[in-house]
Amino acid sequence: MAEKGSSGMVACIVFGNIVILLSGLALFAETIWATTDPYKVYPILGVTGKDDVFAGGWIAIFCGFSFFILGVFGILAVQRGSRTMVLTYLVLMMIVYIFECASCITSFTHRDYMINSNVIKGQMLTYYSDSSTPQGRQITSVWLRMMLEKNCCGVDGPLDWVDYYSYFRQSYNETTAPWPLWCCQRDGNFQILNQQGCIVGLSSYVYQQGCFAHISNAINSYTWGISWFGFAILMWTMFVMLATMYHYTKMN
Amino acid sequence: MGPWRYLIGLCCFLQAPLAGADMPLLANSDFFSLNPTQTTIALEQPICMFKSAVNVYLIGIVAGAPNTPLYDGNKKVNASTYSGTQGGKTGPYIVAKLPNQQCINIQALSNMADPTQVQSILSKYVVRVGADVTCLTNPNFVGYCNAPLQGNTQYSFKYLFTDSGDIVQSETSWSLGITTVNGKASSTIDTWPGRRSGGMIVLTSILSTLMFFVFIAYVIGFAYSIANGSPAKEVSRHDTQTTAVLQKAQEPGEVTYSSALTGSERYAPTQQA
Repeated sequence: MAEKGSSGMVACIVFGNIVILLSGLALFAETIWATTDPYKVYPILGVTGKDDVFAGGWIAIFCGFSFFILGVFGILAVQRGSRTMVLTYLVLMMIVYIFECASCITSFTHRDYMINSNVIKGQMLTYYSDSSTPQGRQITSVWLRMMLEKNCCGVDGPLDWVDYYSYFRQSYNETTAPWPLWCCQRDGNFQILNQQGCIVGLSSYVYQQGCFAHISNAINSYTWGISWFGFAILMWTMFVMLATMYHYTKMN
Repeated sequence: MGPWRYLIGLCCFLQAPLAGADMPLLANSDFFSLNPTQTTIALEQPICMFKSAVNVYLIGIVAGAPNTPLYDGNKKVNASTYSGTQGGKTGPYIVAKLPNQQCINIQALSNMADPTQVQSILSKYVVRVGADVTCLTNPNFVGYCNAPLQGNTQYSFKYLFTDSGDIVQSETSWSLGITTVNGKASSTIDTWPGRRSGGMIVLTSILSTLMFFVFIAYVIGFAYSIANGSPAKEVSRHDTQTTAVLQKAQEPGEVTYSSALTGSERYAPTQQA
């Protein structure tokens, strides 16, 4: 029922949809990766209330799978030459497109809030070692794990604990623990190398570098996957949608 | 030889005041990079500074406090303690009494990287002011209380070299002011995100624009197809379709039925004909 002159257009739309469905599947997989939070930094975002990086990730899971389904559907619709199916395809694609735009923008906007060492530092000082609140417990476990595994201390280094008052400082005096003992260098069995050397701040017994690089790296990886990859798919999808719209107007 | 003699003489001349100007110094910042903190200050011990002394008294004072004498007329140490001077606010107090380290077997501070040696090197070369948190509250404590310092306060220190009878043999001058860290409340941290990242601006603006364009394209597309195709064409097309379907439903049906009934008979004659 499509005009004969638009068979080239049909081939283009089919190719475009193949790309959409493949990259939709990839987006699906990648955003599942992001939302499972392999770097275990979710509480840092969650306690601040800026966890919408992950909200964007969840939306993108839905959108990725929808792109996959709609890509298949779009190929069928154009091949069958059914006006109704193409119309359905266009409407559904528009809905998914809007959602995916929202996902990209949300994710990236909230990344900007969190890629700020001061936010994370203030939160760490407020909650670290506070076992009386759920936020405190979450933040504490994140930091324990991170400092132990990544061999880092504080957000920007051990001085974070010296320069500011904190919940930790109220609980432990500075003479015996100027910084959490998780900042102390440990041997292969995670035993503190030398506690005396650690608490006087000897550079070979305290991790000097902060954990911010690790946190920002994690958040950036998530955002990259959710936002930039989604953005690339949206750019491509836009052309396919415009071509399909054009094709639709020529169908009779 | 002549110029050398002057040089040596100059050195001797410089040596005397410099030796007198010995003063407590912060521990080597190559190793003690996090010094001082809010309540502690790590100082170098006076190794080889006055070899004949037996003991060394470390005296501390808050900058601006009255500098009361540290020893009496017989040069016997009689300075006050931490609690007696409100932590150095009302006068100098004895921070610690240390044995004067022998000026032999000097170890390099870089050996502190070895966990087995760090303890001995630290106790020999470094004195940590503010290292005892329990002495003020412990009623059984005997000796000089080296209690934590005040934050954001300037301190000066001095070493007194004494013999075994606490008679002062020599002393250093007061150190330059060492200020403890001013601990700030964590709520004072500015958490304003500041400028948005370029990526966010690019992404948001481009996506918003694209969405607008796509939306416009949809509106135009639908309007075009409705205006162009629908009113006249689609109705007529539907008419023809229905008629076609009707025709198809009638004609092939008859053919099928007829062929089903008499397929081979009708087929054969046609071929023959």
